[in-house]
Amino acid sequence: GGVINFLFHDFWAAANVSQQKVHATRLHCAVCVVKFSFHFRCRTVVKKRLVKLVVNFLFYFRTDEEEPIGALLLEQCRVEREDSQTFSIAFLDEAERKYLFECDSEEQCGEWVDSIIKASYEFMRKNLIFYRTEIHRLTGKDPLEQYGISDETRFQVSNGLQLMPRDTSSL
Amino acid sequence: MKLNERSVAHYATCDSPPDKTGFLFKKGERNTAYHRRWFVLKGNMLFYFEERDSREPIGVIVLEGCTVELCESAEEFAFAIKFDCAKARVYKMAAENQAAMESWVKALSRASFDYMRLVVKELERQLEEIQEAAGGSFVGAGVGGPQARPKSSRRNHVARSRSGASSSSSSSSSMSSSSSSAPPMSGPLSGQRSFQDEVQLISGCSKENGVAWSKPPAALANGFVEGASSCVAWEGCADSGADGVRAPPVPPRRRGASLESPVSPGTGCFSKLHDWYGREVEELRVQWLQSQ
Repeated sequence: GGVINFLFHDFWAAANVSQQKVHATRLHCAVCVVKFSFHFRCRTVVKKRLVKLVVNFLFYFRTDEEEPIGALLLEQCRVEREDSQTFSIAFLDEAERKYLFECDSEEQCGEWVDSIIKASYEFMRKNLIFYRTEIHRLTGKDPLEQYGISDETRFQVSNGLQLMPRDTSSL
Repeated sequence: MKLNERSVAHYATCDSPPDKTGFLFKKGERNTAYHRRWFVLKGNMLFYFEERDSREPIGVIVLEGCTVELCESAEEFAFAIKFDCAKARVYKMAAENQAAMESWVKALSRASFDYMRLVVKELERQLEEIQEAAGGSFVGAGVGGPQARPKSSRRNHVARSRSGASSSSSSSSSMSSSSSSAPPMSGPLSGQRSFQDEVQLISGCSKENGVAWSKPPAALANGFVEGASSCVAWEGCADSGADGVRAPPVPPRRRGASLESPVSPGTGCFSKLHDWYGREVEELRVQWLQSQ
């Protein structure tokens, strides 16, 4: 397989700058011990990393560095509580491999699991669709109409299978 | 910088429906000619492929903290993606016609996670207002319909979960199962009282192992576990409101300990929470409008 040309640096720089601006959920910075389980000579590598949740990315840093050494996109993944202080992230396309995170406390672990669950675009989209439909059901009005965004693909109940006819074939 | 590339590529090509696809010309970085690429927009990620039938993307642009503007260019129907950072590269693109250009600019400028979050919070706030205005007794009706209904929708829902279990895990995005360990939606989003109580009981005793996707959840917790997947199935049918609401994806949890809220939840504090969210959304809205 090829290597994705991940045009990331600009995003990180922008995210750093925009951190001070618009965020309803506070960014979560904590030092967690990160264990990456490798299928390599049956050895598990344990490293201490600073992890930072920014939108749907989990960045990790060496504890004394400002630039991340890596990131995980938090879509199509599964978050699991492994024990009272440990959680894991596994990706659906590679389910046998888990990224393990050991926290300082049970409470912190719970907060991370919760935050990461919510840090998925697809998760938010589902919430939105629910709220939209429910508000419509209760009031007879589409709440997105007043913002002029009713037709946007990303807000459709069956995204991709438009309920309203839409010709995107030319686009 | 490392990235879980394989999984990112998987997200690009998996069967979750994209928000927009099409050909665009992208100006190269070293080779400054415009190259025709196949673009796939999913959420806040703009993937591009060499060909429409390529199996893996060759690149991805994360659409956060950026603006999308029309730009001056020798190319017709040109626009640019710019990041709010001096060092950032400007991504110059060109569409094949005016309509396509406008459509892409519109889609890309609202693709950010922050924007989605803003809209979700706003609708959440509206729903709370509606349910609050209707009074507490309406809560059950609000979610499950009149008293007689919730049972049938729950049955309906469990049946759906069972049959959908195998397919949901592949197409559903992620964390539906994880959310089952959370205390259920408090306040107006909880659904009828007994439903809420039962789920609280279940999540209370399965806190430790409730998150696992593969572990078989209890029937009602299953309702929450499968909330997102039943929502996926639900998305496929047109009768969105016809026979009551399937269990929703668990809405953002509010807990005193959570970083999201400065206030402990609980009905007594709900008005505080409501105010807090209202203020946050208002601030966000102002900032967002200013950034447009």
